[in-house]
Amino acid sequence: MTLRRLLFLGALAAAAQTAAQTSNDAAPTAGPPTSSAPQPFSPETAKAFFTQYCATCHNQYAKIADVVLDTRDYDHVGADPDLWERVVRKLNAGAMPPKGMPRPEPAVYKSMVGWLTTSLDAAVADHPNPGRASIHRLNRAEYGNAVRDLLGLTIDATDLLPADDEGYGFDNIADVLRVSPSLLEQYLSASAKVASLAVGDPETPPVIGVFRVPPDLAQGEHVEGLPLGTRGGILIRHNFPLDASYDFAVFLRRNIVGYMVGLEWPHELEISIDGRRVFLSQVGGPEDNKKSDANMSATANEIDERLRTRVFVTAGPHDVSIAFLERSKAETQEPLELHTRNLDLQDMNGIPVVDYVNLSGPYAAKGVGDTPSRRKVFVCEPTSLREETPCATKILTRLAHLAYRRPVTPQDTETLLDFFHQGREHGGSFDAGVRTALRVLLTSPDFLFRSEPDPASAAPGSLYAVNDLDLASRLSFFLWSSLPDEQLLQAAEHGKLSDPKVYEQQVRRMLADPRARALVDNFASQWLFLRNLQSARPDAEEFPNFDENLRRAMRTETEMFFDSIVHEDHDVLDLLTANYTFVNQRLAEHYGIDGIYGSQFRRIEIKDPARFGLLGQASIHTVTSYANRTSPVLRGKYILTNILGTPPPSPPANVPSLTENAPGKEARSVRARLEEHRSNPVCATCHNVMDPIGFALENFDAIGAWRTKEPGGAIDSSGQMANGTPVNGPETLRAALTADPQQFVGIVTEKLLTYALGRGLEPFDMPTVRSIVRGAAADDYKFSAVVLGIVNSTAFRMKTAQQELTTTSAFIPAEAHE
Amino acid sequence: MFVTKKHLARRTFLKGAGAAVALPLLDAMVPAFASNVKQSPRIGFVYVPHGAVMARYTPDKVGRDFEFKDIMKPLEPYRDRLSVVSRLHHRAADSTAVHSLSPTTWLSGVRPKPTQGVDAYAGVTADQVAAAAIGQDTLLPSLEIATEDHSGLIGACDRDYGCIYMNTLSWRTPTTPMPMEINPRKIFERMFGQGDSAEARLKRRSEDRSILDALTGQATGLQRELGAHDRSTLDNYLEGVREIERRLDRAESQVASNPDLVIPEAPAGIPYEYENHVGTMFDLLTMAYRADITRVFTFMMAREVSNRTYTQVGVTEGHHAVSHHQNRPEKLEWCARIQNYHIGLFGKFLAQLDAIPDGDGSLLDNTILMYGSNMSNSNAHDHYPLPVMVLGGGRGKLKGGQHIMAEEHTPMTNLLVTLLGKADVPVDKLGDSTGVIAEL
Repeated sequence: MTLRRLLFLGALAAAAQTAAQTSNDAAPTAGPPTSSAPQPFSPETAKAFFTQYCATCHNQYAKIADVVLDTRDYDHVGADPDLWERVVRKLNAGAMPPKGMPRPEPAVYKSMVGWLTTSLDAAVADHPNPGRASIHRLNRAEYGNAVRDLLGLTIDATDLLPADDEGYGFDNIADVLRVSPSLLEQYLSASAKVASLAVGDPETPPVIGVFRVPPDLAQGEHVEGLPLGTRGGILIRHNFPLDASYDFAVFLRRNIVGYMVGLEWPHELEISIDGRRVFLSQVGGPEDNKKSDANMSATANEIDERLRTRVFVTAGPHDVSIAFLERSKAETQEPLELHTRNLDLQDMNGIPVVDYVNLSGPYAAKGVGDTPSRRKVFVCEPTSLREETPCATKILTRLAHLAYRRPVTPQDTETLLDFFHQGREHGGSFDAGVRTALRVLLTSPDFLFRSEPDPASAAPGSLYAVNDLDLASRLSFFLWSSLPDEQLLQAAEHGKLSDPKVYEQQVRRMLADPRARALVDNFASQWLFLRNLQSARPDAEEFPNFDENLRRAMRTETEMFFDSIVHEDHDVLDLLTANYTFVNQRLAEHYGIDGIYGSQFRRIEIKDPARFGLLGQASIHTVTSYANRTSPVLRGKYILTNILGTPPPSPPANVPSLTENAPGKEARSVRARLEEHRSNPVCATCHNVMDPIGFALENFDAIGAWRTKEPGGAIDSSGQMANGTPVNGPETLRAALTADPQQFVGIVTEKLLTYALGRGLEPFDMPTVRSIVRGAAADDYKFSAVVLGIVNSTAFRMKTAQQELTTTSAFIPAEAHE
Repeated sequence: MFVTKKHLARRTFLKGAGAAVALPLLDAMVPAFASNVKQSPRIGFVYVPHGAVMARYTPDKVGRDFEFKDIMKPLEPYRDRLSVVSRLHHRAADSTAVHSLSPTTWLSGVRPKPTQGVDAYAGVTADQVAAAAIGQDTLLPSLEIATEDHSGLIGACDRDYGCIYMNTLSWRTPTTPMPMEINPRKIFERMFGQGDSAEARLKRRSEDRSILDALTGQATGLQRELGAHDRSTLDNYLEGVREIERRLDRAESQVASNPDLVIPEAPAGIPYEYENHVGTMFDLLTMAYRADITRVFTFMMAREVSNRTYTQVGVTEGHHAVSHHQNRPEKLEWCARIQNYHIGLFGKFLAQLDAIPDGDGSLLDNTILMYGSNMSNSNAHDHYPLPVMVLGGGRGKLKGGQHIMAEEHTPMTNLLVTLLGKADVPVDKLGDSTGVIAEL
């Protein structure tokens, strides 16, 4: 045990004694205000307050958690935000003093927080600090969206680029988005593929693409997006490079001994393109079944060979659907083994299902066709050689304007035309020239980076307003994770964004635009850990009913829910308290809600209050659990971090894992097994705060189903918040979390501000957060109010001019070497 | 380090001079190149799952002049550059996780940590030890390839050892499994760049160079407007540009130093036919050795629990199913046929290598190859005695033509250590090794 721990325990013991004494003594003569009418604090009374409640541990000798509160300058609290913002955070959550120590009344907490924040806010108001805005590389999602908006081409950027590193919970943090040679190589290579697809390249060679169906997707039901009347299968949204013929080959699943299941009855496999059937074939039936019994592998091969066809498809994006026609609901084991994952690899029962599909081509290409991206790119088409350069200039300057997000310079035009001519010459066509120039556009640092050069007139260290063009980019990457559109760029170029009315109008327009979906796909999915659902692998024995269908459904529910909050401009608190959600049949059955049929999602009113809001959604429950059991610790940590804004410190090294229930021995509940957390004082400091919050959600099992029992007994969902409020179950937990609306709105603001700025928040940003929350309060805490607060804040609209270094850049051009 | 220090004037490529300029410039370097490259060690590991019918595999006679039994027959022409080592054991694979551990332990001899995935921890494998030592001068330090992947087996490998251990033969660090590429097209692109013909690739490289040139200009221009902190980010960008230019240089030289090397058309993707797929993979490996694109490879010819049928040799049941032969004669016959077939395909690879002159002999003379499986009796799922052979001349360091019968239960890692030593990668110990195979 370290010295510090010893001191801490000593302090605890001493304090416990003092507490016992004080409760028996008369009220102290001098001290902080009482609950009857809390008087505002002054530096003297504040000092007394901290000495009484905090200095037992947080003194200059013990320095518990590196916080010293006895030797402080209480006259100038605002000068030390690093310390005092931490204190404010703890006091807001009621997390300090720890359980067992004497605590002030709730009204006193509020009063102290008010006193501290007044001072802190005033200090920042005197010396506004927008923080550092570093040059910011586009992340993968932004690259994909930019390509979509620039070229009208929807690509899967995950195929072309590696995942980005994350910081502060998001993958759009400027200082974390580095560039490596291998990443640059991938940008180079991606630019060729994107340019080729967007413009069309008659010399596109045939390639074979493989599309797999997750093995844990139950294929007895209709899959969303596929034609009604089908079951299972896969929807492939594919960009067909040319007007040409393409081969489709479907491979059905075989079990581990090579047996193709489901051949007893005839089934029909259909391939359709944009809803139009192009292929139909029978699989199974008495003949196939007999052959399979005689030789299963040969028959399986023969069946796969039957499922091949070559079809002419026009260039451009098309939906290819490969699925079985639904025969009857009674043919599978499903009604008996509800949604059992088909992972029993030796199982001989079932229905035929699609394993993977090969899509190859183009073959016998006829031309580049007429695609949405060609229509977007070619704003003119030259009819003679003489028209080529002017037309190329028109096309490329228009694209450069959008891609570089600023007026195009003669230098830009010259470079792009240079490459156009190169490509024209080497490739032999106007299109080839455009393709080559596009490659430069897509790898240019002016496209890949958002940089905001300081104006020459700004003295180093001085504050200046971000110019309209840079502001336009900040807005579009915040709300759309993409490039500004023509309208926004125009407004910026005409200096209109400085007009508050126009600014607000643009922001509201952007929030209403479909592109604001990016807030769901990128902000919410990271803030709420939804991306972790992809890798969730609930134990097959404990949760035989968990399959890909449920995984998708859970995620869709939370995404649609968050989307509704944004689009319907709800009170941010509705995220926790809303009495509606979105379900399909699969999810409804999981929740025990009757009467919902079909795979499509629809909005419903929730009857059971336990399910209101995010904390009632299976996605959240699943990402805060282990594969085989719930974890009150994970859930407590999640709530502390994402909802209360007081993340717990990291655990000490070498903490052994929880003892699992051994087969044959008497099972103990998770709560019982976590007993060690409470009995061991070293663990208790953090776990007394984390675990009790998690216990309140114990009725939701590791995949979000409601339960009242677990191995070890009935569920005991009683717990306590850090500030002592007792909770018992989801409803009381929710009430406790929303008792002070500013707390939750504050954390949402913090997360959204981090995401909007692309940097972690510093103590000096907290007054900004508080000011945004206060502003939003005046508009019922609407989501748009929070967003407007963010985009109007100093951090978003102002910059500090960078200091100059005395040395020049370290980079020396290659010509100087060798 | 690589010889290429010439820095071509960037604008040359802009003028479309292409190959005409490249060759004369690089020609002068070729002699120095050639002798350098051809003395480098090369090592490769080829894996098949589900063991072998040992009775029809292991030669009866120990020492020289042994008779090739039917499974090994296709390799008889290479007797002088072939050694069979018998009675080797991989204890690390002995466990109830019958298939999950075989691939991961084959080249490491270390039993990995039981887990379903995220915190996987295994032993560094011999091929990566080699790559770190002899692979740093080549375009690709190593190449890991296979013919099937495992994405259809989520969560269904083994209760204790997750699919992550079945998916690969190669671990660069205890926590970095090397993905095995099954798409010949992607391998081709890694080796030669994008473009389906030499002409297209050359055009592409020249276009890339022009673009990199322009990007340098743009980035330095942008830098001038920025503060110190942001400038350093663009420095990374510019360093990246330089590094890619260096790689393009390297790629150019490799092509130019082998002027008579005919690079085939880029494969379209994964061929449907197995023989075609394996053939393409071996072609790429031959090319990789020939053009010194890599000196280390691992090839999983079929995956663990593969259920592929080999109708081309009359086996109509899946490989895995058949490997549970229960000692029935007709199933044993089928197993043997599949094993013989695999070795036959491997033999074609040896023939390709032998046909390419290299230094004083052929590529095969100057290579060390290991072929085998991490299972012995597939029905019993045991890992002793393992079927494994060493092929190639190893630049004269390998003594071929022998059936070496090691002491009972000799760790297979002894063989790995021996081979690494012959490839100029001296290691004292690997996994559970206790010494070397002196007879090699």
